[in-house]
Amino acid sequence: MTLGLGVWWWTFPSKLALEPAVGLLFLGAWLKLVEAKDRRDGYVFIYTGFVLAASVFLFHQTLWQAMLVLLGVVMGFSALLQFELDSESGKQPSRWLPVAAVTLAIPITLVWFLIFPRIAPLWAIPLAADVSRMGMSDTLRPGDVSQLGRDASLAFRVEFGGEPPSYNQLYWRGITLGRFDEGTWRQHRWLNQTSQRVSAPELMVSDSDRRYTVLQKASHRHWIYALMPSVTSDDRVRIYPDFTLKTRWPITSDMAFDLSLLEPIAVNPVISATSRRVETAFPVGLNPRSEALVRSLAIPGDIGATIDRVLQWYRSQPFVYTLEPTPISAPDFVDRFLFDTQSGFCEHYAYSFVAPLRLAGIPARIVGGYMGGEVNPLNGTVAVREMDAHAWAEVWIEGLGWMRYDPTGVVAPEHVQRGALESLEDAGGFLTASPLSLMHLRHWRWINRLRLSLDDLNYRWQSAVMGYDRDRQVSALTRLLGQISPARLLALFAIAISVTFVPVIALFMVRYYRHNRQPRVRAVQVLDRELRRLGIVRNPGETLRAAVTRSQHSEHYLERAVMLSDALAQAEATLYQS
Amino acid sequence: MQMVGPRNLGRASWNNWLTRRIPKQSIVTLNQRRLFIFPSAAGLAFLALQVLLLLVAINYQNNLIYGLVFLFGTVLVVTIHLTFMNLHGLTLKAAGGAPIFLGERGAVRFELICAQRSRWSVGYGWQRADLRTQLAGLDRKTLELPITHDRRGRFNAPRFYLETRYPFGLIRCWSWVELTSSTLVYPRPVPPPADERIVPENADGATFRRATSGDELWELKPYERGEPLKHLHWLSVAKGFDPSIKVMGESVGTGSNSIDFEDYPGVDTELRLSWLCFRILEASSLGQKFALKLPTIEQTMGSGIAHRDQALEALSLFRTNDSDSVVRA
Repeated sequence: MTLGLGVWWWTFPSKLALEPAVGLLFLGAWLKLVEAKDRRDGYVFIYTGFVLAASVFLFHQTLWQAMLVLLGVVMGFSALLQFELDSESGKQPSRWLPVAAVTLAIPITLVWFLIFPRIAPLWAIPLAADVSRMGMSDTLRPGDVSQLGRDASLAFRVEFGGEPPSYNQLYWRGITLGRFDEGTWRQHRWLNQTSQRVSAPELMVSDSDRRYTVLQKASHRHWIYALMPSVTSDDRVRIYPDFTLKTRWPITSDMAFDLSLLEPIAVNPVISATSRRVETAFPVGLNPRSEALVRSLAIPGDIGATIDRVLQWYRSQPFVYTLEPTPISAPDFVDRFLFDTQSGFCEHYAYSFVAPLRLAGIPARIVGGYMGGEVNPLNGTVAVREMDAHAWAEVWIEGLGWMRYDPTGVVAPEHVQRGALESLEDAGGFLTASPLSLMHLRHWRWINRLRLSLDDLNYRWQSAVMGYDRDRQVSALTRLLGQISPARLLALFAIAISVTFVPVIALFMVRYYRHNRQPRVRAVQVLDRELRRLGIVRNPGETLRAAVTRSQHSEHYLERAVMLSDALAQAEATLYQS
Repeated sequence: MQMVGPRNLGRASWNNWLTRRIPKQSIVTLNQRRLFIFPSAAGLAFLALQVLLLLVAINYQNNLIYGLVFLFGTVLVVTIHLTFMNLHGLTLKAAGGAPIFLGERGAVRFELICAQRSRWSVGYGWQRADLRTQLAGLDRKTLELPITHDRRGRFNAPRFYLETRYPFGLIRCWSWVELTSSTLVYPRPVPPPADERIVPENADGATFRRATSGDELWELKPYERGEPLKHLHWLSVAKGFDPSIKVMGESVGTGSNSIDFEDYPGVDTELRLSWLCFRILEASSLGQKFALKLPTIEQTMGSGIAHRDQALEALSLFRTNDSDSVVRA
C-alpha cells in the first residue's frame, strides 16, 4: 500500500490532473484485488475496472482501443456472471452469455448514441497534464528539448470539400508567439480576452470547395490547427484577431470542426499601435553581431527587400537542419546560433529569423503549428502527425498584412517540399519515440498499403464516431428520419428493439414448435395440462395411465373426469397405435 | 400477543395483499403476476456508475464514453429479461414432509419443476435466499427448507422466498410462494420419572417379543446390498424414498399396556404428552402391544408401525385446531 502510494507520488509530479486521478483509481483497484475477500469486494473491483475501461477513452480513442475496451467490458460481465454460479456443480451455462448480452445490447446502444442530446460541459474539469508530447507548447525557449520528429502518432486529420491546396501551402497554424519576454516567446496577452475575438459568420463563405473539416485528436488544449485565413460558424470556437482558432473548452476528446478557407484578400490588413509595439520589441545589446548584420542588410523603407536580403544571407551560410542540435540557452541565443553553431530545427530558425527583423523595426512573430502531412490516396484525407510539428515566421508588410516566411524552407528546402516523413529520415532522432510504428517499414510496398488502409479505417471511425457532435447529430438524424420528431425517434427505437429481440424470439419459437408440433408430444401435453388442473404433475417415468389413476383422489376429479379420459385415450392412441 | 403498530399494520396489509396476489396453492407456476423484479443493490450501484460516467462523457465531450454508458444501460435492460426468464415458467409443488418430533431439525419440502430451459442459480429460503440450486434442462428437484418447530401439531408451511439474480447479479427477480404443505410435529419424547409413573398391574407379566417371522410388518430398515429383493419395501421405493427392507414379525406374548393420559394427573399437558410419547416409542421398539388413551381418543390394543403412527398423530393433534380431523380410532 505504502509502496504503491510512493510509486504513485513519484510517477505523477502534478497531482491535480487527469492521469494521477486515473493512476490512483488503478492503484485502488489493484489493492482491492489483494485484499478482496467477499462478493462486495468483487463488485467494487469489477466496477472500478469498468471506470478504468472508460477512462482509457480519455486518453485514446482509436478503433483498436475501443475494441480492447469492449473486450474488457465483456470480461467484466463474465466475472459478474461467475458470482452467480455455483462453482461446485458440474453444469454451467454457456460462457458466451456475456458476449450474447453485449451483442444484443448493441443496436439499442447505437440508437441511444445517435439521438442522445449532446450538451455542453457542466463544469470545469481536470485535464491531462502530459501534453509535453503533443506538438507545440504554448511558449518557446531555445533551450527546451525538442520532441519534434520523434513521434508518429496522429495529431489531426483534414478532409477537404474540394481540391486540397498544394502541398507547400499546407501550413497548419496553431498559435502565434508575438510577445518576447525575458528570453521566452509567448502569446499576446489579449489572446486571453474574449472581447477581442472576431465574429465570424459574415466572413463565412458558402463555396463548398473551400470548406474543410479538421478532425482534431484529443489534445487537452484549446488550439485548432487551421490554414490561414480560416473561419468557422461553430459556436464552440472563437476566432482571434491573429486568425488563430481557439475552442471554449479544452479538446478533451476527438472532435470535428468545420472550417472555411477565405481568400487572403478578404482579410482587412490593419495593425493596432499596441500590436505593432509588442511585435517589434526585442532587447537591444544582447546580440551585437546580429545587430551589426541587420544594419548591413536592412534597406530602410523597403521591408520586402530587407527580408529578401536576410533570406539570401541564410542561404549563403552553411546551416544544418538537425533534430539534435547543440543546446544553446544563453541570453545571446541569436548570435550564438547564427554565427557559432549554425545547426538546429524549425524553432531555432524561426527565432533567429524573427529577432533580426524586429531589430530592424519590422513587426514579426513566430507561428507554431504543423506543416504538410501525409495524403492518404484511398480517401484523400491529410493525416498530420506529431512529427510534422513546425514553426515559422510571419512578417507584417504594409498593405498586404501578415505574410508567411519559412526560414527552415530556405535552409532545408526538401523539408517543405516533401514533408517531415521523407526529409527528416536522415536527421538524428527521427521517430525514436515510436519504435513500433509501421512507418519504419513504409518502404515495403504492401506494408505501406496495409498501413494506409488501416489509416483509412481509422479515419472512417474518427469521422463517424469521434466527430459526432450536435451539428452532425442534427444532420444525421434529419437524413435518417426525414424530420426529427418524437414519433420518429420512437420509431427508431422500435426498430432497434425489434432488431434485438425478433431474432431471439424467433429462435425460441422455432425450437419450441419444432418440438411441439410432433403429434405424440402434443397429445401428451394436452393430457398433462388436464392433469395439472387437478394439481397432478407426472413424475419421471410414471405412465400416463398411472398418473390419471393417481388423479382420481384429487378434489375436482369428477368435474374433469370426461375430459381427462378423452385426453388419455387420445394420447395412448397416438403413442401406441401408429 | 402482537403489538399493533403502524409497522405491524403495514406488514399485515402487505401479507393480505400478497395472499390475494399469490394465494396458497399446492402447485404454483411462476408468472408475471407472481414475480417481482427490481435492480439489486449491485444493480443500483451499477446505475450510479453509469450516471458518473455520463457526467464524465458530458464534461469531456467524449463520444466513446457516451457509447459505453449507453452500452451499460442497454445491457442492464437486456439483463432484466434474462433474469425474469430465469424464474418465469418455473413450477413449485408441495412435497409432503415426513412427521418429526418436536426438537428435531425439520424441513419443509417442495419440488422445483422446470419444463423448458435450464435455470441457473435459484436461491430460496424463509426470508432471504440462504440456499441455492440450479436445474439443468428438463429437470425436477426436491428441495428442503430447514425449520425448527416450536410446538407440536400440524404445521402448515408459511410463505417462503425464492429469488434469482442470474446472470449478472444486477437485477433481482423474486417471489413469495405459499404452498399447501403440512407436516405433523409429534411431541418431544421425554422419559417419565419412575416414581411418577403408575405402572399398570398387568404390564409386568406381559412379555412381548418379535417372532422371527410373521405376517405383520414390524419395521423398515435401510436396504443393504445382497439382501433378498423379495423383502424390499416397494411402496417406499415407488414414492421415491431410499430403498428399505421389510422386517416382518409378530408380537408374541400376553397382556397389554395401556398408555393413558390420566396416568399422570395434575401434570402439565405438554409434559404429559411428552411422557406418553416416550412410552409409545418404548413399547413399540420392544414389540409390546399397547393402547393409547386420551380424553378425546381411545385406541384399541395393537402393535406395528401403523398403530404407533396413529397414536403419535393423536398425541400431536391433541387439543389443537386440527384435532377434529383425526377422529378415526
